[in-house]
Amino acid sequence: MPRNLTHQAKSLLLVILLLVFWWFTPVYVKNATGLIFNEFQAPAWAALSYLRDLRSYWSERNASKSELIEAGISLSRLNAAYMVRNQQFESLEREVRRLEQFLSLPSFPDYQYEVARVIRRDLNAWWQVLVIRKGVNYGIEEGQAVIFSGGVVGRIQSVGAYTATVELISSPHFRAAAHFEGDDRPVEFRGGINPGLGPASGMVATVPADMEASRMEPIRLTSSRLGGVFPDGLFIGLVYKLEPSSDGLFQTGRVSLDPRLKSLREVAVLIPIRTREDSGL
Amino acid sequence: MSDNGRISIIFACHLLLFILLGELNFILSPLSLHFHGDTLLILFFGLYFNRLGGLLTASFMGFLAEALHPVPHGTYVVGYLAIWLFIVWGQRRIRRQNPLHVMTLAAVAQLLWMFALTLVMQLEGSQLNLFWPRILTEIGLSFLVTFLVAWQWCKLQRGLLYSLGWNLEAGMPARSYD
Repeated sequence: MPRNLTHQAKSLLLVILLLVFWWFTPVYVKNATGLIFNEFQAPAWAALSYLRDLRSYWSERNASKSELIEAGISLSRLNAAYMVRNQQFESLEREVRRLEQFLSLPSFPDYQYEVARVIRRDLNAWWQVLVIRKGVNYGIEEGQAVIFSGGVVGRIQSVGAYTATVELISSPHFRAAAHFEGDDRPVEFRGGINPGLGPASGMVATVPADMEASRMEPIRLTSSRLGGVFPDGLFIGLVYKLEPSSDGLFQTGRVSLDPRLKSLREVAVLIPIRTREDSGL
Repeated sequence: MSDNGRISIIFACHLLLFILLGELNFILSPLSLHFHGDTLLILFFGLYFNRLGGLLTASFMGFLAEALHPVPHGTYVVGYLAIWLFIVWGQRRIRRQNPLHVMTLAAVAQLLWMFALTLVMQLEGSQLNLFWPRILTEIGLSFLVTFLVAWQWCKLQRGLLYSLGWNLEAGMPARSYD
């Protein structure tokens, strides 16, 4: 008869048994477990975000009449400016369509903007993700681009029934094709430089040797169509300094990202509008 | 109230803490800070409850955390079970009535878990662009906050159980011992 095991030894044996069981569990069961637990807690996070909305609603209700009048005036000015810009945009759009037809070029993909509230921000050293309050129910799919008023936010990493996870451009895992404003040559953008108590940055590599940047004249890094995720020309960040890379052929530099990325409350998901030919109808 | 009812209330407290930690990190994110409070989710069950309760809680919390984070399959489940085992191992080596012992055990468990997580992420992504100053900041912050909060968190739950008629210091129900 073996000697009685201690509480600790029995616990260890139990854990080992559990881990062996987990090891032999098929991957689809593990995936399903992750999905179940994700959906299980999603309502709690959504409820928290609704509470946050309610709090800001009540705090804004306390604003005085004069503050509201001022806000209304500035909004009407903004609306007027945007209406003029919309007209310019429409005329440019018509010009682009005309040139596309004239030169028989394939047209750029069109996007539908799905605005979503951020319900969770998980920005740490290992990953930088946001959870938004829209998922499959709004036609969001993995890999779609996410933007905000300041440019690129990231891309959809996973989608649940009512929520979706966005990988930020500041995440150490993030890679994307980009180019500098006014220069069509592609460069590689990587996220991952996130100092504590400071704004996030990224790295840009394979920059042509003739590009120059300085603190007085930084260059704007924008998204590129090449990756197939983002439309062209969305702002990513500013590059203040470029240094020769180790191979001597290209340059590398640090990209200063928009500090608002860390306090986002609302983003827009770009859902490609599929034409009949795309969807096979 | 039955023992199971009391344990369920404590479990609900842990779920609430899990949500509150998420909210805390939402508030801290504009400052580029993140607090990892993983040990706090397991500490009380590891120190005071029976094997089955601790094991189930650690697994459940591990599954919850894993569903939220982009890590390889099982990282959080295995990690939380390892934290629970570490706390169970520590039961014989510390005095649960001594605040310093409990605080040190929790903080060391948190420290070890975060180094393990770094190792896993480093091994998982060869393309990963990890930024060490940030990692060390988060490890330091989490270690410190866990150290400061662990005893108060345990005290709060002990007080809650006491108000429900279960004095953990006087003696646990017989089935809690093995």
